Amino acid sequence: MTELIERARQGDDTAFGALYREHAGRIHALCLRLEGDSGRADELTQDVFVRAWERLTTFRGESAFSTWLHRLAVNLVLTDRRSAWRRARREFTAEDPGLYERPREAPGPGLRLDLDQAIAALPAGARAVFVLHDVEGYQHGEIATLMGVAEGTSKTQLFRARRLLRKALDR
Amino acid sequence: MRPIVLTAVLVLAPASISAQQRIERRIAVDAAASIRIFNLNGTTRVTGWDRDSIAVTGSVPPAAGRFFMGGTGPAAKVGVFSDSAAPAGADLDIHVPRGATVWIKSFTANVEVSGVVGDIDISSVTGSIRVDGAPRRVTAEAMDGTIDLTTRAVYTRAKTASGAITIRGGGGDITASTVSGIIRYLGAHKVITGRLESVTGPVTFEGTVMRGGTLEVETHDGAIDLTVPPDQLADFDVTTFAGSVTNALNRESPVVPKGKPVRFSAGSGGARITVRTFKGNVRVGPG
Amino acid sequence: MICNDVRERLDDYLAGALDDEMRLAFESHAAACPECSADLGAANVLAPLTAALPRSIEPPADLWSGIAGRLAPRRPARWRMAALAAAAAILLVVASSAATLWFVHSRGEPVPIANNSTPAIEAGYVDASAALFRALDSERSRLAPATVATLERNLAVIDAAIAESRAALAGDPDNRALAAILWASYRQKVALLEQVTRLADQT
Repeated sequence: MTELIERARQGDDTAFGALYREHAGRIHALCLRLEGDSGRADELTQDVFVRAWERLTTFRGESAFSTWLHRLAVNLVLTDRRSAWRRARREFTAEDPGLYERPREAPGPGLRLDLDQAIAALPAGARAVFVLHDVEGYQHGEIATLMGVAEGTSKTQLFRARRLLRKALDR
Repeated sequence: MRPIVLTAVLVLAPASISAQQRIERRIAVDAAASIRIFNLNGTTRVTGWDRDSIAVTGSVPPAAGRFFMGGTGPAAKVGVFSDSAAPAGADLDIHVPRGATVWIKSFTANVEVSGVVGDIDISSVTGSIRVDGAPRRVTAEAMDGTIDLTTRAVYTRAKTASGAITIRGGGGDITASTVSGIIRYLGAHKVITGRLESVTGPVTFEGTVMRGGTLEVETHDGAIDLTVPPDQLADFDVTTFAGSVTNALNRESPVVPKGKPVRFSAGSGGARITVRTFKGNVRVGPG
Repeated sequence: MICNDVRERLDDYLAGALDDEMRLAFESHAAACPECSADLGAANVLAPLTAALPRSIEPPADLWSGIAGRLAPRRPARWRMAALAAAAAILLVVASSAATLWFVHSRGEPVPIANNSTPAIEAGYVDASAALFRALDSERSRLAPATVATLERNLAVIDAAIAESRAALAGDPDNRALAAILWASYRQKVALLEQVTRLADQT
């Protein structure tokens, strides 16, 4: 375990600030792509680091710190998303969450690339699966567990996302 | 579709409120997930099973606190949480993937774990700890609570202040430590590195130390009783200052002046067994 | 091959991981099926673009101040961590010198040992215990009365043992086995204090 992590574990918030500077870009990119909204992504990035500070004593150095932090971020964003879904599900009663997800109109600032803008405009479920699978390299099985959906749903969402993206890029 | 789901919500809502007493929950996790379990008072029973999920049944009275279960994939947390200084007891029956790493925190709750082959780490104050099965590593710590480990673990750590420690079966790397409790090690597998220590509690060792292995036993005034198989090869190094040494193993040094180290061997080139006590009586004999 | 099979194998196809037979079956289905051909086309177009996405996008500069304000101080834990770390550091030094002494003794070689080593080792244990005591004292309210009672009862047992072997060692200062027994009691004392310190941390 590096000295910075050890010091942060012992409560040194300056050391934690250095860890933040080292990892913020990666976590922010992840939140930005998963959320497709720069305002929410900023809030979530903050939440991820606050949570990491609270959980740091449970980090035992079994994986790399960056992997641990990445996992924590994915969990936090998806948990946040799932509770939003549950709220939505009370109002919309369809089986397929995709039916009530409308593609967004315009992505917020922060995403300069065409592909990133197209990702941001995807419906939430398809976006999360695309980002986790194609950008972050997660397997369908892991994604299904993380999102609380069936593996088949993860695959269907991925193909849907890819087609929507291609259509958006062809425009 | 809409009316059906709304009905389901209406039916489920009151059920979940009355279910505060009775818990029945399940989540999917990885086969080797790391699972943290908190239940301070009552009982906690953890059983390993061949499914990649955690299933909890049990009763959580309102005065025990709030039941929580969460997590995904590699990590999960299960338990009863309360702000009260003395929450009521909750009974939890928890099934976890066999290969999980299980971490359990108790205060007065009795903890029982069986069927888990991953690592187990249990901490309690007055609650008893019992582990059965073939975990890879076991760490158990209590103050007054008793620790009873019947396992095939190759790494065992047991520590109490005054609770009795009984280790049956585990071999390899063993450390048991108590201040005023008793230590009983009844091994079925060979010890490679063993350390048994107490201040006033008696220590009993019945087992085999591997060729080239070491066993150290230390007390202040706790009696020490070592039983090794007749074919155990070992060099013994025994010191007691105000106690007696009985060597029932062979004819070397049957009577020993107090305060002097006693050295005797059973065969040569075997294990190294060191015994030190201030005023405990020491007996070494064949099993 | 049906559409589902093509979807299952699409990523393997793109990675060139299908054997010839499977690849031919895949291509002949994809060529004839507009749905699968669309999926394949989309994946083909996207793969290089996705790979080129930046992995890191710096957040706005002021994000840290919002985080720093929300970091709950871990002061009590820091105290405990510091105490445990201090005790561990002292004990590391003590243990190595005590182990050396015991090793020397147990080999039966008459190696002269500096007379001041016993007081130095003892001072180490006393310091380690004192550091833990201070940390525990500041957290005493977090410990259940039953825990405190058990702690005190067992500390009394250890202190009595320490007093006894200490007195014996005073009368026989070169007896290294006796010293080893004294250190064992001190180690028990530190280990017990460490255990209770951990208990305070977790509740």
